[in-house]
Amino acid sequence: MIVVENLYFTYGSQGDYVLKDINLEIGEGELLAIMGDNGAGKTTLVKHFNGLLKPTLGHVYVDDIDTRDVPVSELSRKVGMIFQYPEKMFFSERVWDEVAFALRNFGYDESSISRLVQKILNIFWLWKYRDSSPFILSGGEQRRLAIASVLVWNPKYIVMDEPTAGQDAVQREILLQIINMMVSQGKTVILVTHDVEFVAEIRPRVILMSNGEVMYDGEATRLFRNPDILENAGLTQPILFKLESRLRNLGLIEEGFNTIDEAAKKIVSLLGGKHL
Amino acid sequence: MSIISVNNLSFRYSYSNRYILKDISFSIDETEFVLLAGASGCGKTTLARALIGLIPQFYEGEYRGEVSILGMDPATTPISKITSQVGFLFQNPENQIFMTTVERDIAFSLEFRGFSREEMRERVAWAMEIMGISHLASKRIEELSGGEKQKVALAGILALKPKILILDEPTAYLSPMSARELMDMLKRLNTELGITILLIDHRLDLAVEVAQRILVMKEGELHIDLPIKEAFRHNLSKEYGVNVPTLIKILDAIRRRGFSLDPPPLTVDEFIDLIKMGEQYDRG
Amino acid sequence: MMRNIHELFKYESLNTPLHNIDPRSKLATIFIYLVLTIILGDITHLLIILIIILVQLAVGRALRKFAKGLLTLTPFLVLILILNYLSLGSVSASLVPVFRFLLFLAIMDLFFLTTDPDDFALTLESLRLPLTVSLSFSLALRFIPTMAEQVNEIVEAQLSRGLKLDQGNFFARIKKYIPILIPIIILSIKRSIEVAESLEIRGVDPSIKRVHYVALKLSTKDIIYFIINLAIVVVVYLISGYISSDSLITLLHFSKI
Repeated sequence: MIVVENLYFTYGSQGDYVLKDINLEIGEGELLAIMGDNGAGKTTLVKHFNGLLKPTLGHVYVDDIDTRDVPVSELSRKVGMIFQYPEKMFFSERVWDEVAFALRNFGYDESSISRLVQKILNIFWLWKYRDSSPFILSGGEQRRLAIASVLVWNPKYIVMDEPTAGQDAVQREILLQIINMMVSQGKTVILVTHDVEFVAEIRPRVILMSNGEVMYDGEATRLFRNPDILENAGLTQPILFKLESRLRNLGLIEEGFNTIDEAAKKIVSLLGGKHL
Repeated sequence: MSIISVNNLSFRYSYSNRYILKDISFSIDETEFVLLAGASGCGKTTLARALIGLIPQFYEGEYRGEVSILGMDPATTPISKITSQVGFLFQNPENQIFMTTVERDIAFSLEFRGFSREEMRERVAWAMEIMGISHLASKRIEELSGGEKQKVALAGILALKPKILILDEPTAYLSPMSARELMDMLKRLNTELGITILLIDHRLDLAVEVAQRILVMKEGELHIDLPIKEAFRHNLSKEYGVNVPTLIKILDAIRRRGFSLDPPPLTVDEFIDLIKMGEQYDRG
Repeated sequence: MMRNIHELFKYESLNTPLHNIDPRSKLATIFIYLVLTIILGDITHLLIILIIILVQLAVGRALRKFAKGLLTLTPFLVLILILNYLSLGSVSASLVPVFRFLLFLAIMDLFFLTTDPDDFALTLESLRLPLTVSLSFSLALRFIPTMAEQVNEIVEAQLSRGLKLDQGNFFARIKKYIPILIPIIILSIKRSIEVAESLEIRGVDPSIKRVHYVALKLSTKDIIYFIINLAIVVVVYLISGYISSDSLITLLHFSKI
């Protein structure tokens, strides 16, 4: 479990707090989206989970360990961070070494390293590239490699920062599959994103941030039915819910819809079976 | 009248043996708003580079076919001459801002084009006004948000009063609000100033609301060239790797139930109007 | 960590008398101070110059930043002191290079903390340096914050992959910087290509006479600023022949009696 207690954070010694009085509990196996506009403090918050940043005031506990007491290299074994555009961090001559890098840092023995690297490369359809340079892979393959080189050490918590930025439909589909896989393995998955349409597709628990504060913590669906909170936080209502709000306001529907199929069904019945 | 025309364009970068553009032909008329979509690596950016002469002048390779933009041939016309009439906005505004304050950076585009200081002042003020960033004039670039940087970069282009604007995935780094603002801005530039726009994006949810026509590329070939409403009579996503807007997904689901809304509504407003019409139709 | 180092040299646009001095006048001024710093080798003289510069930094509201920079560089200053002490064997003699370094920093701050980087580029152009040189300078200054951010991102990413920078002997540590250096080099190359494309598109052309949006204007106050500083420098140089640390110590000694 990750527990955040009265967390305040500022980069300077004085000046404005980028995070203000954050209190959170993230349970094991949870799928969570931390949402908000650029500059709301999302990334600053998650950098506390593996100790890259330490609280100015308050505490962050990962499995009851105060993040102030242990180095990043130790917390990272529990909390895997996949940053925005993670393929930026590649430096190895071979795909294989890129994936093995973290395992070596964590002191795994060579036979475990071979076993784990082979396993993860197979899962991510990258085994055939094991001896190639990471830099010759396509954009989609590079992204998969970047994710694989974190998942390889099997962290319990996984943070993904803006995973959908610049991704086409195929890559998004793969990303969804990877998220589903991680969730089914019982991992805690924390997505940092402002992509409302993507979050509307997976409906996790949402923590909405604005100006360094938590504005909402709860079900995605309930949040998406509340355009005011969203707009105050600099986000837009997902199209599905925008359509629902409009129809409801016009008195055309009473109950809402939760999925694209439900929406289609409602609309068809509204159209009274007429072909337009 | 067409102001961009591309005939049988093929291109291969000199470092690769794979053709990135394969026999592409299309044309764009004055004041059109065209969306260019396709999966990552399909050749969209390469095509844009070919329109302003970066290909084959900056990036070398095997180049076949003919391109004409405002009557100029990008293969031989100096890039600075093309870009005095054709604005080009990159994905990452960071790398196209060269001065450290907003006003000076916008002016930078004009400094090598023979304008007097007086004229520069007027144009810079005008461009900032249009983009709604006059209040940022003396701000330092590093203090700006991503959305603001994008506006500064765009103002720098507008100061040249271009006839055509080409934008390469301008929303990739933006939050949804900033992205929507940018789209509304492009729409205004198109309708109020008559600037022809070619927008490259695979985030279609916002783009379909403003564009009139869509070009879809796949593996270097141009597969679809249709008015935007017609394009969405077919399922675009699976085959072409473009992110289909939720509204279109709802339309597809309706279609699967044996109904078709024609022409397909592309904004929530259009959708509501159509449903209201259906209601009246039903009652009447 | 390294995050904030560039902040210490970052220009802040304020409205102080010093910010309003023409950069060419400031450049000439820091030049004569630098020469003086190199010529003079006595702590007392260097101290006098330091005080004059600090007063000017205070006028330009840059004193706090200078002090912060000094704090960051303290280990470095101590290192200079120790190394010099080991070779010279005298504390007062070893203090001279430390003071020189300090002064050098203060003089540089006097210019860079109060001069808009864009104006600095203009200054270089007005010195008849070719566009490629002045543009390179202004681009370098423009991209320092961007680069610093990027370095930080990469360090954080590699730390999150278990990289431990502070373990092992000297050579092992150097080796640990490879996963940071390679991505930085690759990203810098990518950036330079994008910037080059952008320069083309924005119409930069060394063969065309550039008309500057903002022109530097030398006014009376700029000339007076330089003349006053020149006078100070000359006076300090002249007194330096009469007063030295040794004579001061003798003086103190007598006054005690």
